[in-house]
Amino acid sequence: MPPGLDRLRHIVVLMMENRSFDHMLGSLKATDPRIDGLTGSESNPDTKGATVRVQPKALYQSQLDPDPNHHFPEVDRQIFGGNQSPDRVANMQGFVASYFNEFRNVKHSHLIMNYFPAQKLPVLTTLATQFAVFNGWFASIPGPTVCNRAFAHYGTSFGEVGMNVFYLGKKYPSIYQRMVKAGHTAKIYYYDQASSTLEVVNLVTDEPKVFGTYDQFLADCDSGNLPEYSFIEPNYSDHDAINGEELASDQHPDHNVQAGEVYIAAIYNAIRKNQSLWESTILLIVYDEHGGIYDHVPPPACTPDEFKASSDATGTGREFLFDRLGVRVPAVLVSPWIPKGTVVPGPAGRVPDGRTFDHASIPATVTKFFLGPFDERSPREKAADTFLDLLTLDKVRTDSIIFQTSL
Amino acid sequence: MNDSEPTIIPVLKPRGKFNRDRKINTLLQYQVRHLLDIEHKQLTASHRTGTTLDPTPMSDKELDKYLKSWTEGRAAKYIEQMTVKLHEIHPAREEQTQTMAGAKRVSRATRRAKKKVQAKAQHSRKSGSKKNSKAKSNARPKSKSRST
Repeated sequence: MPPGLDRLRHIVVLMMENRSFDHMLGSLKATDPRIDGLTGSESNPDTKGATVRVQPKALYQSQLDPDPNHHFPEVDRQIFGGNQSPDRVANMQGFVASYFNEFRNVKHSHLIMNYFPAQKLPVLTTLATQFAVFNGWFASIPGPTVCNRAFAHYGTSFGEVGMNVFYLGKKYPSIYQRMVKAGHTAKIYYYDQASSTLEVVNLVTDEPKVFGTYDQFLADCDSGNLPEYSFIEPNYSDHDAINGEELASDQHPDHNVQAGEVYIAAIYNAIRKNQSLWESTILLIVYDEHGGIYDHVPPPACTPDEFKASSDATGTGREFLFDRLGVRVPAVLVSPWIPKGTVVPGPAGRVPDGRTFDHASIPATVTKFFLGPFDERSPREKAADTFLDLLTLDKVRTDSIIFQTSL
Repeated sequence: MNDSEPTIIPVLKPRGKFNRDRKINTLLQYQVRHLLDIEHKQLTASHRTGTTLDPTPMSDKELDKYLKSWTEGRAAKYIEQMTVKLHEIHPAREEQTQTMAGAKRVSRATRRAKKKVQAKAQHSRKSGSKKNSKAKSNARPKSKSRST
């Protein structure tokens, strides 16, 4: 076993909200051509037929308002450019047209093609270039938040393609239930009680034993009492708290992206400053879905789930067999056992030795490492690629990055 | 990078952007919607917040209209109330500080209490669905509604 795996005790996942790979990390191709980002020539047609190119003009806030639509039918339009023919091919040409529907303003619809220059996102881009970035990590479903987050918790959405969270009594246990049953430790850390968790069902059935808050996460990092598996949620709203005003850190449009950067930095710093924890932990930073924002890589086909969403449920007039992934999202893996500048090629089929990941890779990895063979899992999760093989170094890295937040 | 000295990356905090009066986005609308459903279908009257309308008899349109008036500040207060309630009513609260391995060692009394609450919740869900299956289907998000 590689030493990094031998030392591994904790897997930490931070799932942010609603940004595509190209929007956040696409600029990195300019400095590292191995990263499957933007060349600057990628484009979409607008509703008047004009060509709209990608532009490094994304703002932290006040640009993607109203919120781009990312419900199943609109994501279908974004991926297939509105083509409904049986032999259609994903071309990623419908983003501008889809965003036009939100505001009926052609100029405004062009904003969906904007991306961040690397220097505007110092935290995410530093971690991506210093550790490992995935070229082929996709949302699990071409749809919204809850069904995508379900894949991270259950390895399936039990046939849901929308926001229904009532999974009670379903056949596959959540990763937390699996860990509990096997005598391991696992926790969902939500930001605070006023933001709470999107895992409402777990909140009802398992509150409070599998839940903690962000403050508890910081304390657990400090004391070395982090569970074996931790899933961290950001703050979903601007709200008042005992210590003052709390800014939403989820990066969901139109929340401030910079606040999310500060949050990612704080999670990283909390792990980094405890040397023993740092050497025995991996941190995955990933986004739940693309939020309707442009990405140039067509989502690949995938192992069909055993579930089927009806044409009514999808809203497209077609059934969905969970046989295609959603739009590509940023995913960065951090560990001192990963070589600096690792770029995980992907997706499979697009490049030689390409690999494809989606949120089912999260419970698949946690299960494989902590529990070993485990049958009560969805076909999608069983087929999902895992990522601990990226911890390849023989010796722990001694270089160090610290993020310093300032007013 | 010098191995002995850490590289310091400055990160600017956003300033002057706080807005508790921002209308809630669709993600928060759904979070609130689910908590309303739990509050009014699964909690006894004594555990309800007393600050919200019962969504059960509302059509999707009425519920959307109701939720669109909510601000992030209001939603946060409600979510906090409900999270606290769910803490209070959960029978395994004493296990909170234990690890999951520790949580396996739940006392027989706690297991009995938990079973009782689960049975009650199941009964409540069943009777709710029998009494008002139309209302229940209305509480589910429409396929064409905006989501996040």
